Amino acid sequence: MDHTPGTDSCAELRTQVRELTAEWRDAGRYTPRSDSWLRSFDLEFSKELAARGLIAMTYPEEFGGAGRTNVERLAVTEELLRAGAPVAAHWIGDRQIGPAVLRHGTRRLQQEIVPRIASGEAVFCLGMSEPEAGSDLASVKTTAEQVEGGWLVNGHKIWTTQAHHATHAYLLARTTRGERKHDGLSEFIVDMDTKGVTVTPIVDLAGEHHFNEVRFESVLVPAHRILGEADQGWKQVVEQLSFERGGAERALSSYPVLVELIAETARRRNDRELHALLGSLVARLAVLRRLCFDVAGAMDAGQAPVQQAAALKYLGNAFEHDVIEALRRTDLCQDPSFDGVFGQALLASPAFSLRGGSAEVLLSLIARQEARS
Amino acid sequence: MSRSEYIDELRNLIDDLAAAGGPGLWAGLVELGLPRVGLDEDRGGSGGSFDDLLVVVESLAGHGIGVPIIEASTADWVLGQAGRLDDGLSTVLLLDAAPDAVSGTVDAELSSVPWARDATRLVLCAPGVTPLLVDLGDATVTLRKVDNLAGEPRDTVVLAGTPVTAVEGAPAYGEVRERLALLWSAAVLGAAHGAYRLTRTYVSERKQFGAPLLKIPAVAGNLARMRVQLVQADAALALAREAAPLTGADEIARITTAAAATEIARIAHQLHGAMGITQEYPLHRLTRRLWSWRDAVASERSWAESLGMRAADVGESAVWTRITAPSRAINDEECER
Repeated sequence: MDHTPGTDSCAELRTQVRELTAEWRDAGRYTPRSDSWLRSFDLEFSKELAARGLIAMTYPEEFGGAGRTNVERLAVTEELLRAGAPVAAHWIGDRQIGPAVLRHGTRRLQQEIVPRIASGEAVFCLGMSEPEAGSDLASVKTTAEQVEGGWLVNGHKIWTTQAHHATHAYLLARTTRGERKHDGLSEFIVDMDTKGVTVTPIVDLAGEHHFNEVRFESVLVPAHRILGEADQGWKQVVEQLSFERGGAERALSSYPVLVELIAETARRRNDRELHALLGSLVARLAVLRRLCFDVAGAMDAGQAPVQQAAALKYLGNAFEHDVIEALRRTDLCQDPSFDGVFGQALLASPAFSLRGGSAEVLLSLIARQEARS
Repeated sequence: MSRSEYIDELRNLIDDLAAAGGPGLWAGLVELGLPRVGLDEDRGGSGGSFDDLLVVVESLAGHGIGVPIIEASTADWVLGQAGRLDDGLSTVLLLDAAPDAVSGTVDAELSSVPWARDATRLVLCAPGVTPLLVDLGDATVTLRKVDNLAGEPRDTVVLAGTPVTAVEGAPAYGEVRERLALLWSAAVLGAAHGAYRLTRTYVSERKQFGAPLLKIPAVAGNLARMRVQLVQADAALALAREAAPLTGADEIARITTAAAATEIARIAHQLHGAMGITQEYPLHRLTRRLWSWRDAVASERSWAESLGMRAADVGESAVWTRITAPSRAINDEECER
């Protein structure tokens, strides 16, 4: 497994993250949990990572980045997820928005936004989904109308994770109404403290608050906050989705459960069925890691591996679910509690294959490419 | 181990041979030296790398061709490390325990010996002992013909006081097993790709309700499920090819390709409808092989059990280190069972 680009530096980065997470955990500053990239918010931890150059890793140094490869970044994100560390404050900005601004933003926008993501100051939420749209990302009703000095935004977004903590929103809005719903869309960066932005919580089935609704009422977004060209947003969104889908968080959301499963299997020396189950899960994990590595490598080569990322997310989400079901097989899970490893993961699990595209949508995306090839 | 540089050439060569088809196929392969690809020329091999051999095996399987290439090449590899090869078809069998051969002869009933009826020599490999060579032409050897689901010979061979010779200098049991695991993974992967190609063509061309089947969302979704299985299986084999010293990489490849075989065979038949279950239509040549080959030598279940057992023994931290670390960082102690 000689992943040549930066094999040694990857090993070193892994060690660095392991030491940091162990230190925080031992000091009681966080408890490892499933789905930490979405649910475990700690700005201080994110700033600590930033100070060590462990976020914005792939960004150019002039914008506060580390100028490293996506493969090196993968080593860090894998270790953070494995440790169940509190990374939600920077995850979306670091993973998705920074790279999008670097690819499509004007220099002014890059200078304004990217260093703040790199330092952990800017916290992003994603204003993509809308109440009536479901998985149909392109059926955007939120509008941005060109006015003196910028764009006037009106609309309503939903399932906006961490919007109540966010300093910025990424916003997908309709700038022209055309024949096809994929045309006429544009991407914007909006300050959450702008007049007219309101955030209302949506409490999830676990009683936790991560989701929100966000309303935009006559919100004025400065002209330079448009990302890329007006009306050409869809192509950028599709590309951005390979950043969103192709990461290790699509396979490791329930990793703390796997940790428990390995320990429990060791205790049950004679349960051959359970050993076989664990073996097949370990095989799947090893393969998923390889796919993450391939996607990161493709990104380093300047590609947007849309189909690979979709396949990875589909397989990864199935794995995340199956790990939880496997632990259930041990009877360790009778009367699960809200804050136990199993209960937490189970309550988080319905979202695994929804966010970033449902399993069915991913399959239809893959099928379309198959029909074409 | 990087991917074979002759990958396209080898594939084209196999495509041509497959198109010619017929009973002379194996003879043609032997004449071209393909079963001895990956063996040193000074031992009687054809040269090239083990990865070239994987490409050959995968390509043949992709056409639904069943020939003794895995058994012959592995037996020859064992024999070639001990000395120079001569002509004749060799085959190989893994045993859980060595037969008693104190007096230089063996009494045993061996089941599922691949291609025994066609082979002249049999190499027996068992843990902890030197491989044994059996002359299948010896008068003490009797044979009962048995076929696997794919219609390939898996004979019962009865040895009654049959003389055997130890193959000194031969590779250890574990190495033979690992080599077989990779070759069978490549074969299953090839057949899975073949079943996929056939299915994609069928649903693109066959019309029902006035449009190609592929226009039906459930059909398209199932085709995508097959693709996703291929993505996974390709990655598993790539991992195993590159991570040869990594313990468990062979098991990972077998488990993953076997699981893909199961899903792909099921969906391929579903999407073909009744057409897929006729003798005349070629799908069964691929799916019957997928069903036979996914558990060849050792079952998916047994690979999974041993991988799971080791994972539980070493614990999460070592499992994680092992699947994330570059292979050279894994020391011998960690590799112990």
